[in-house]
Amino acid sequence: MLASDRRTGTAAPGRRRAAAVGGLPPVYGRRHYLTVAVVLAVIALAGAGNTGNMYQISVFNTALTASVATVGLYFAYQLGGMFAFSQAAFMGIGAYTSAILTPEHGFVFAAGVALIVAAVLAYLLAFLLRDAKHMYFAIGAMAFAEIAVLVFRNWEVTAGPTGGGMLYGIAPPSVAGYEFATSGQIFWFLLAVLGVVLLLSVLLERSPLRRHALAVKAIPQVTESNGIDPRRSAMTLFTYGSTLGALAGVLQAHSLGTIAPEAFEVGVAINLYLMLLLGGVGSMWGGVAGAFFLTWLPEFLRPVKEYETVVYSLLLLATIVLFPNGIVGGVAWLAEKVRHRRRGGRSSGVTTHA
Amino acid sequence: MSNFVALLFSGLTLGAIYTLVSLGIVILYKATGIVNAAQFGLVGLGAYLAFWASTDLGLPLVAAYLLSIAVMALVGVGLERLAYAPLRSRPVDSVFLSTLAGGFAFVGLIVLWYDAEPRSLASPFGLETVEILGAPVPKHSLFVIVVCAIAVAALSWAFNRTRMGRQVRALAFDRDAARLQGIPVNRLSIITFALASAMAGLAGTLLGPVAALTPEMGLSPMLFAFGAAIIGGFGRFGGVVAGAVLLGLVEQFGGGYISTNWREVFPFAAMLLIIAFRPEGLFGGEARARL
Amino acid sequence: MLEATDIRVKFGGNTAVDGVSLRLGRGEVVGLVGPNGSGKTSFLNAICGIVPATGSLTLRGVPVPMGRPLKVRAAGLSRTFQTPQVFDDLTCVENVMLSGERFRRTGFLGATLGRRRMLRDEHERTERARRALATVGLDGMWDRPAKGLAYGQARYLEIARALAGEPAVIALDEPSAGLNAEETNRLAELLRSVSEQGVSLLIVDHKIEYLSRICDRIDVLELGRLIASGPPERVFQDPAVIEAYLGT
Repeated sequence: MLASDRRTGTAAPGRRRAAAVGGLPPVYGRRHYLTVAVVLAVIALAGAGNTGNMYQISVFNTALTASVATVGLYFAYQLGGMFAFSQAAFMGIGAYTSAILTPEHGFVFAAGVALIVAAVLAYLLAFLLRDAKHMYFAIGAMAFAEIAVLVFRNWEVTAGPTGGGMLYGIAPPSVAGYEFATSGQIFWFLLAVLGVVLLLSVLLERSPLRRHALAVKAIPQVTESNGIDPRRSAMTLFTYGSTLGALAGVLQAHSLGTIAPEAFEVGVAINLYLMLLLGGVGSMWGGVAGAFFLTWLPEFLRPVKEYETVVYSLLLLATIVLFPNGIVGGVAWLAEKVRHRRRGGRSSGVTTHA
Repeated sequence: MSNFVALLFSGLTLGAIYTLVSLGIVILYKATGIVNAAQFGLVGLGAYLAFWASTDLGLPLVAAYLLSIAVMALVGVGLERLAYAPLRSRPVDSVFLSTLAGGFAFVGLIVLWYDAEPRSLASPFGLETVEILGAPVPKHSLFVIVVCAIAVAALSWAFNRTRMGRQVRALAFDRDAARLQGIPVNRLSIITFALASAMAGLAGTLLGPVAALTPEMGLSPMLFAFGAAIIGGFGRFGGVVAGAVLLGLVEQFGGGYISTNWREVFPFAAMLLIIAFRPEGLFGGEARARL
Repeated sequence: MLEATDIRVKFGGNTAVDGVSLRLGRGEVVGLVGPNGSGKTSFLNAICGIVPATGSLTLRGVPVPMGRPLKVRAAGLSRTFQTPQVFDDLTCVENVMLSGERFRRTGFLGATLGRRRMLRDEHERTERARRALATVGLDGMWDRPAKGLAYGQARYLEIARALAGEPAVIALDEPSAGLNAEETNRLAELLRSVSEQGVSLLIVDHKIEYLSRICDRIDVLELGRLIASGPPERVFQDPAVIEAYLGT
């Protein structure tokens, strides 16, 4: 599917030009693919410089995993409009399913099944709560999340040899016989996965789904009068976002080698929210930025480790109240200012934004 | 039979605690329009305050409880002064998320103060039990149920029969109109915040002897409290109490007759189903929370 | 084109619409007027399916179930709202592209597997949308966010959105609200030219002046009942109508 898009993109340059003239709405003209390339390149360079240092690389790996989850949260929450406090639980669903199936069936199969299981559960949950608004959905999602954690802890299948849901010795990811055993190798694997996730997500951004989602989120009744089913749009995005969360869980399980139910509790979902809000809730890049920022923050906070939870919560509060556009928003704002000044203060004319 | 009775009373006990938390949320919502998801942090804080008062200050337990409630009321006042103004104009979702984050801030404070290790808070009645219909029922359970019943009755009376209660209801209906009518809007806001916070603290102190003391101890109870509020249609006290008791009983009976480890699954599942199929609540209270 | 029969709407104890029937022919412009509280907007909401109502509805000869806005829209009825409902986060053209009869390949699969066809559909939709914007005079703003539109422009955007869906009927709820005399005239001209393209219009409004000019027929509601129906000159002289208005 990516190939066909690349083909239409490059083999029909007329179409790109048409975007400027009036063939497609502005969102298609933006350089999404370029941004993906840049983001991946930046992370690759930063990581490559650190491959010697196993500790630093593991921090990168954590950030990469978290990015997948926050991009999923962006789709579920920002486009889907649903308070996906269940995101951490879906991470757990992905993690446990994959961890349990890998020994007998290999990584690729296990991960695939994990994603399918998560997608089905997410769709069911979204369907169950399709008429629940906002806060009610939030509480329903949290109830689901709590049930999930209880399952991880108590179900014989997931409880593991020592019970309580702790699983050890999960094999590192291996694709077609090649095993990504070291932290360095895992880094490249995770980067590749993130790349695929970003590309897939870009495909969704460059499609009617995006404007339908934004419209449904804003005024569902009017979208309905125009012929768009608000619930279908929200459910699709929630399912996609939660499946990404499951993918993040799979990645986490196989890169860390152990999992425990505590890693998938509601508090973790709040953390993911913080990452998304901090990075900039308006785009998937915000998710990536926030994930990286917040994964490094504890490194700086190490001297005052006990204050971590307090700092996080206050940061979340401050972000909601003071910086609603997050890091990405701040960067965009700065970029706009620079562009403005360079043109000698004249308005730039067309302001395209999302 | 004795098993049934024992489970019945522990279910009622939990139901009572959930009622306290839930009423705190509902009252605050009705009076100020704020949905306070930080309540779980306040529950924990109240419990730890009582613990501190009884161990570090050496106060007798009842005095420790009362001190905790008093301090929590002050915390509530502080919250009103600090948090109310910026939150008041925001949409419900933003408020929910912000207060949720605030709740975790309180959890963080507790971790700073003590640490994440579980502790236990004793009850003024210790571990004594009373025999009812052949089952040993902890005196603490009866204590909790009685305290809660008194609290509910007092609140109900205050809301429906006193002038202040009428003023609070007018406030809930239309804040600006109420101000124009000369109702002391600011004072009432402070009182409701203090009250909600005190109730959370009370719930925490009562919960202490029943469950272990951990910084996040208030999270599940608060979720159940929201469940109770939803069942009660976010309106009448009676509905909320019924909802809380229902969830408490479902938890204990499910845990007792099916499996203890899984006991919380039952009320959570019930909540999911109710939100999915009857979000307006089971008791036809007022229309659901003005969203 | 549109046939609504015996529409009844009840809110609690009140009967807002008490058995109103109405027909619209192809290209016909009908004005629905009446004093406040006469049930005009409720009637509109009822046939659009957003409030529960009883009665029957036929569009383009095909019966449409009541209370199903998606089906009403699919059958060919678009509407505008009393306050212009535009989506600030989207550009003008995207706002207009939200309407349409064919929503195939707008979902997840369309964005991924069916991408080539999806892009082709998008081109088509954009063209149609820009044509609609041109009809209402907003093409210059096509790629601007809808947030910056003035009130009158937002109105036109809504009308463009209704047009782009190529509906059989457009129902407009007080389209002239908030417009001054000159803007109302321009609106009237626009609506007349739209009807000349074969689209039927049902206009709920108060301003008798422009309605008299462009409507083929006026239906008058009072307290949920139809009390007069006919060409504007006759209806507005009808003593019962005058009394209904004066009586308020």
